[in-house]
Amino acid sequence: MKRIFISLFTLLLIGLAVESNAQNEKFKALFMYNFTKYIEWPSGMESGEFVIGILGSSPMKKELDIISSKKKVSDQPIKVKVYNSINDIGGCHILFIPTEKSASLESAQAQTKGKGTLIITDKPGLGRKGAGINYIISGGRQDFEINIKTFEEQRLKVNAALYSLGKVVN
Amino acid sequence: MKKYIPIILMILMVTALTAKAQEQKDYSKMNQKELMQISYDELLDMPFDELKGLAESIGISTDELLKMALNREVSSASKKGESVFESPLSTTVISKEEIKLTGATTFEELFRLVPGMIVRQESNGNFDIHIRGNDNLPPGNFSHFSENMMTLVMVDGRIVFNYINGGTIWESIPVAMTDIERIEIIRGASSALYGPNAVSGVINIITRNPNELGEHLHGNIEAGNQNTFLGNFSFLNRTSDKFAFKLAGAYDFRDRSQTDFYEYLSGEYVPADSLTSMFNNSLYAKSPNPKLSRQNYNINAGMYYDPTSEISIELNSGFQTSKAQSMFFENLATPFGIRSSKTGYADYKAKAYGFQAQVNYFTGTQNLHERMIKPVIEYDMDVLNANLEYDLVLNDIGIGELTVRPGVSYQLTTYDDERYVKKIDTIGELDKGFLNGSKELETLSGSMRIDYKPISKLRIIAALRADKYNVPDDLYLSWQFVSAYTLTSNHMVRATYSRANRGSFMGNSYANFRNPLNEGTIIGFEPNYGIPVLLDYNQYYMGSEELNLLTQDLFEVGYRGIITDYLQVDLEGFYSITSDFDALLPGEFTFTQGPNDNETPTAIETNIEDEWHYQNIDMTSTQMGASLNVAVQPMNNLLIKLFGTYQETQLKKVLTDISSLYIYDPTGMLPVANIPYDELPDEAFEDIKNEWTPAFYGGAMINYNPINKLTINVSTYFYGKQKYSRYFYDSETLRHRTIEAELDPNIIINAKIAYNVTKNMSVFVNARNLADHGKTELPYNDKMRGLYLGGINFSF
Repeated sequence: MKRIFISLFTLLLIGLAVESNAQNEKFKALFMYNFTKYIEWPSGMESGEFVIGILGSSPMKKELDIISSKKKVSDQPIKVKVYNSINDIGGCHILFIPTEKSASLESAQAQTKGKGTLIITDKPGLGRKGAGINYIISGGRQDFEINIKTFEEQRLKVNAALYSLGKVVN
Repeated sequence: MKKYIPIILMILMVTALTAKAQEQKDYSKMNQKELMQISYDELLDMPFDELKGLAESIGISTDELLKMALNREVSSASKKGESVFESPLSTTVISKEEIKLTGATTFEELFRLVPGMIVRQESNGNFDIHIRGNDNLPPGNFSHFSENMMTLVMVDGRIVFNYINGGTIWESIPVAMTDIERIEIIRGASSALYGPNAVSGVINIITRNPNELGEHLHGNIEAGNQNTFLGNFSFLNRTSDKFAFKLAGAYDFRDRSQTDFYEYLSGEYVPADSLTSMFNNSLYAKSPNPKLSRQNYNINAGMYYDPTSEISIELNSGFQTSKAQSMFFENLATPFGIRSSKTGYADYKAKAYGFQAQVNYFTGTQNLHERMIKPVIEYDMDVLNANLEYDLVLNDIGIGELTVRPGVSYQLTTYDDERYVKKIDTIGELDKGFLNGSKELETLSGSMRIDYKPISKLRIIAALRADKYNVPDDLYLSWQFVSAYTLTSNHMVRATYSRANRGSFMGNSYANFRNPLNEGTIIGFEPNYGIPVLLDYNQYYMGSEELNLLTQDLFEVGYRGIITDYLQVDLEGFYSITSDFDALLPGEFTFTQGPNDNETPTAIETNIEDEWHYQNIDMTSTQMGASLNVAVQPMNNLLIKLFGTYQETQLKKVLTDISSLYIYDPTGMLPVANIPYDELPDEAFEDIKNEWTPAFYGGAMINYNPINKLTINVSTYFYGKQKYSRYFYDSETLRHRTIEAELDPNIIINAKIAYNVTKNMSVFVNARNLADHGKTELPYNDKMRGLYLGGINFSF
């Protein structure tokens, strides 16, 4: 018993000491940046900062910060904001809902309805439940679902080339 | 079977070398390390299709697996979709990815990856499964009391445990392994949220849903020693956003690792033909197929129709046939019997405007001891379940997030053994059944659940449920109060208090059969005339319609934390008190003795009619323990999961000796009367530890990708020392007593090595019980040998 606990404790320490590479988060963030190349936001949102909101804390913040320091969306500088609760959500071009906040999708939809916000989620099944784009793991690989109806509702124009890159769910 | 280990190692080496040789500088051929060295700037300037191709070559990384360890979707915990991290109950989810990685050949075996679960293999592919123990209670009773009768087992929300005693006939559950989306396990009393029998917890197997447009096929085929052949598939097709269908099926054929059986009478393993019951007759013996371990197949079809975004309709149905040779119901000669099932089901689900309805019907036949015991325990089953719930979302009333969910449900279960009783060959008067007729259990239930978030960090769930049973004719209330507080988005603490009760079952309520212990046995000679004294001793097993249902009160606290992106911890502590156990014990007793003829007697005839009744006992079980689950990713391509449970179960007022319920004649041999259980003196009882539940058990899983296309998964499961006890009738001394057996600590090691030939197909070698430990994992059961398999897995 004692040995088991010691081994467990050692492993915890090893875990704390080793730097991690959130490889999938990196690709999700890169995918997100690429989505912006295929989507046209409503007029009025094409100037000023390009706001990417994140609901709660997520390792995506770190990755998106790197991208925002290197790239712009058209001419708009990228600003990454973290919203701690649904009520904090302000005007944003993209709202990313991390997996652990998935239960908030419905409330987030209500909060951003008609405001030209693309909701991106990260949990199986949410593509059909009304996220604009939903990250999935398909056949062990990072992929994404597209819900065309949601784009229409949010007045977002999509270049059809994006459809062939992801999986259309409706 | 150890000869297979070098072969496995050789295949591993060859596969690794082949994979290494294939590496080139092309993205699709580069390994993960090389891919990770590509600069951010290069990635940002890459066209999207190229970037996506690159992501595909990397495949799912272990950090994603780690994330999935806590963030998998779970619907069981609060009956509302949420991630495991958010789940306010003690929850574990096994994902389809984990199923593929670990190489478990049955979903029962997957429970060895779950904290708080005790999993013992009885014979090749057949398992004894408990959540947090409390098993084999009361100690020293019949073997079916060692079955798990306290867990609510469901497939897609449809109840699949057995109503004869509440145990689960796992091989008869019609699910294909590749059709499983995830398995949700909730530890702890949860009747108020899920319904009767969720005393030790809930197991819900969720199958795949055709969400994605187009056709998808998933499958797995493997074969190995002990004549093991396994295969399963799942074909899903969403033809439009409104319509989809699914077809899934599986087969599982296996032999035992031995052909002899443990005989209680001699205490040795003997061939089936020579098996003798503890009553010293061969009536109960002779397995019709001593080699068979498990044989089952199933086929399932589903249709999904979503006419609007507010309405969805689902209809699933399936058929299965199965046989398994292992322990389930008392045999009185050996623990094993062949149980067979042929069943079908239809399950209808509809969601519309906040209402959720589920109606399902289950029908079939089952034989708990194929050709091994008379009276017959074979019956027809019909079960109808109907549930209706409504989600009233009151987020707009300005007091925070509030959902109220009222619900009603109805269940009618009928078991009927009349036609089997009529058709069996008669041996003396033993042409009786277990139930002797058609018996019904009916439950009408109402429930109310309130899920309230006054502030975003605090969640409170209160659930109350009332179940009105026909047997016992009584109303049972169960409740559950749960609170969860999110300290930061990565740390959560929670607490639960709940009361849950077991369901009502056929055997406990309606059992009604006679079991002759002695038939005309000469037990001595009359001293004056020298004529023999003969004994006819009939033991009866009788159910009771008045039993109180087993009830548990549970207090639980938990902490869940994402310490860093690469370290997650889930800790739970529990304290429970369980009461209203029932046991089969002597109830009514008549004794008559006299000459067979008054004028010229040739023998003294003795007749004992000894009725054993299912009756409530005063024993209580107090359990205290803790489980820890840690997922850590020390390297990018290495994931380690460790878990363990330490617990202690104290039993109060345990009957020390069954024979203390009898009064014996002056010779001390013949029982002449009995003492009712309620009138036993305090000295007849003792307070002991439940030593059958191990004090420590747990396991580990290591997943390693040395190169891009190769996955090595090793999992272990450990349990500490245990002591099993069961009923025994000594036909020489005419004493009812218990026998005990100890089980030494054991480690079971499993491993799977898979090589991805293409992105859709992998070949693998798979070893279950790699070290071939050769011990029984349950006393008197089969000595478990290594199972070594090879196969292919595909997903299109």
